Amino acid sequence: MSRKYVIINSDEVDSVDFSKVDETSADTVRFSVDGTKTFVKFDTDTTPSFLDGKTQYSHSEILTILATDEWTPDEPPG
Amino acid sequence: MGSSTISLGLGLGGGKAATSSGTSGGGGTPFENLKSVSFDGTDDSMSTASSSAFAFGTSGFSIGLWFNSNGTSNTNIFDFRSSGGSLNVPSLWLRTNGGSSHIRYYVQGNGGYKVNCYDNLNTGTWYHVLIAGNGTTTSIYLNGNSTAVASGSDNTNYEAAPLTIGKYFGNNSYTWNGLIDEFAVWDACLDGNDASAIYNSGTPNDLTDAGSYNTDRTSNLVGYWRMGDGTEAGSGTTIYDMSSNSNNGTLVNGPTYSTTVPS
Repeated sequence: MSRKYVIINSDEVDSVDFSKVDETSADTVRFSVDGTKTFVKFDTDTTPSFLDGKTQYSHSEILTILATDEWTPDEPPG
Repeated sequence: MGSSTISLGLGLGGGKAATSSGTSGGGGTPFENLKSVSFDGTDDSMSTASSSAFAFGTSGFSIGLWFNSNGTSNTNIFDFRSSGGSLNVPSLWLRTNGGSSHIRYYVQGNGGYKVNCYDNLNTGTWYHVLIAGNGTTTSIYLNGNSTAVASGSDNTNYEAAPLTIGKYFGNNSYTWNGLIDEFAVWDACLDGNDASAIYNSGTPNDLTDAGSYNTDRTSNLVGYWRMGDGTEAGSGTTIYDMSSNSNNGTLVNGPTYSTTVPS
């Protein structure tokens, strides 16, 4: 089973069961630049119920999304 | 303090993508390097608590690691920053420019970048980098070359900080997509001969063993995360610091162990 990634709204973080995704906690998730979105990933065959009905992305697909200005500021601070 | 760069345009190709083990050291458990840690480039990282061991001041310091990138975007390899302030702490970046990649050593709190190493780096290839500062100059050694491939002025008064591998703290962005192995920190400025000895023709050696250096630096080893081959033995979310400081790291957001290692 390859890892799947699901984008959710930031206000949905409270509904995430972090025992069923690879993210460590609500404090460690990555947010979009404007803070309105985040994502979680999971490796299991069964989609966690709180992610039912949401679009799932592959690793290469999520990397393409995260490379956009929506998720990554233009100029790296380093 | 200004900064400067040197570009020597060396063609690098000494790294190899392979799965194997190496041995070195004397006595005790044979040294093996069977694991590295894979960061997926989305939000994976490893972090430690802040440590006074990283407060090098204006004395010597060195940071060494093996890296193997899967991507060509601007990404952070490691960063000691924990906030957006002008902290006097190290960071290392893989920067892209016109389709090629190079590494940049950056200190936000003391005028920005200190060293750009403009050698073109390939994806899917292991590289060893050793950053060594002596209070006035910081140099980058690549793949055991005893001559620094780049150097820059650096009088940073380095302060205590946490270590993060794989991402810039801000917004979890610029995340590392690739492998990291054998990450070490010393509170002394190692030299080119040490860089060659540590590179060991492309096979990591035991940095707690005096025989792995040109000059014994084991007493200066203040952090040593073997990225799967320490006490963690390729399992769990703790990366043990195998130096005497025991400043263990925590894998955050699901990095995985890989059997692809430098060899």
